[in-house]
Amino acid sequence: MSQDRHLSDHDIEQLLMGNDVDPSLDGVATWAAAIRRASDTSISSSAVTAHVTAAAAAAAAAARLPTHPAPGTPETPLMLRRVYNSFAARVAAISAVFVVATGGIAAAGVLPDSVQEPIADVYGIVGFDFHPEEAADDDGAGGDDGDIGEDGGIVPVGVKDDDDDDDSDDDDHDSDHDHDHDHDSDHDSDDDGDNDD
Amino acid sequence: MSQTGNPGTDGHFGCLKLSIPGTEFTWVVDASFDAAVLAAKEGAPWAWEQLYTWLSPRLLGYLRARGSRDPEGALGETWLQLARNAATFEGDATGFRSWAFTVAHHRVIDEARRRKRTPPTKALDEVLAEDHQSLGVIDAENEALAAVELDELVGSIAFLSDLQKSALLLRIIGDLSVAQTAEALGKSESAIKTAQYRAISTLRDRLESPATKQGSPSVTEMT
Repeated sequence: MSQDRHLSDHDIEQLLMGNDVDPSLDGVATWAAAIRRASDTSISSSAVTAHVTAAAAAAAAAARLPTHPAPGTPETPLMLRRVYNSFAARVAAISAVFVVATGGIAAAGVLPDSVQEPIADVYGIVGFDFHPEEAADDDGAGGDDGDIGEDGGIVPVGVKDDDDDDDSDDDDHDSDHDHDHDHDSDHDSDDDGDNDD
Repeated sequence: MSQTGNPGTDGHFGCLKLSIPGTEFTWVVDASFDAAVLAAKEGAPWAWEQLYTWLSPRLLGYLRARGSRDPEGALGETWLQLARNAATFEGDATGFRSWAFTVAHHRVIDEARRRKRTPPTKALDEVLAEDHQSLGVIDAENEALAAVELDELVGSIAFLSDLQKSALLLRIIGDLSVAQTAEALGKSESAIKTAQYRAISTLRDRLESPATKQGSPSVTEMT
């Protein structure tokens, strides 16, 4: 009985493609060939004309439509677009560019004195010091964020770098204090060790 | 099946003619259909005519085999949907053929759903048939002969499940691969392989069983 014969994928593919098949599949192959032939029907010329004309017109109309973004495509939110287009936003953007540009030039100190001074005064209001000469005169004076000392080291906040009491050991200590916390820790450990002794 | 190269006579290259020995079946795959698909996306009438002539006989056969009551109408809807969405189609002629059968399959499903929701009256069916005949859309005699033959052939697989029938018909009539059939039916390839295996096994046993030979038209009568 043919039920006992296993059909391989190859047998099935050959059958479905219309190729020669195992004799046990002759009946199915004949059926497949018959349905393939019967389904290959002719269509009236009027139907062809009507369908083709409609399809071509629909395709042409669809091709002329603007391309819509696919669903899920990120789109700039309406609110953001309004902000971008607003006058205030434009003014803010221009101002920001101006501030950054003038600040950079003033910080570099390349402006003529007549221009550098007013800009430095303006930036001084918000805490930026663009007075190079004054900074040089106050060498050793501690600022809020520290200042450049005589030997190039940073003077921490609240520490006075006094020229009269200049001591290389102190300077080394200050410098080490700022730049090498590990050294300080070691120093403290040594102190503790001395006390223990 | 033999494959013979055909240089083409109208400037088309790569024409491949597939034929089954002992039958009149031929399936021509022309490389120019790839160009036709591209042109069809822009709405070129010649391209749509070429694609329609190539695919419509089999599409109509599939619609009939799946039991469409208005196969020509469903065929027109299929082509309209293809045309509306052609701009977004990506692929070659083989992919287009697979897509066309997928759309045709969806039309069959839609029609079946519509029938369930609103069963058409006999009078409406008759009116629609008369309209088509009066418009000359349908050659009634040819359609009747084709329908009878196809009905007999499809009737011999009525015992198969819907998935098995669809898989078998898409593979035979649409000449789709397992992967294309799986995509058209929204199933996995393994599900399609299982469905076609069971369908062919069952059909083989039915065709060979004595009861079938006595009660149903034989295969030789079908052919």
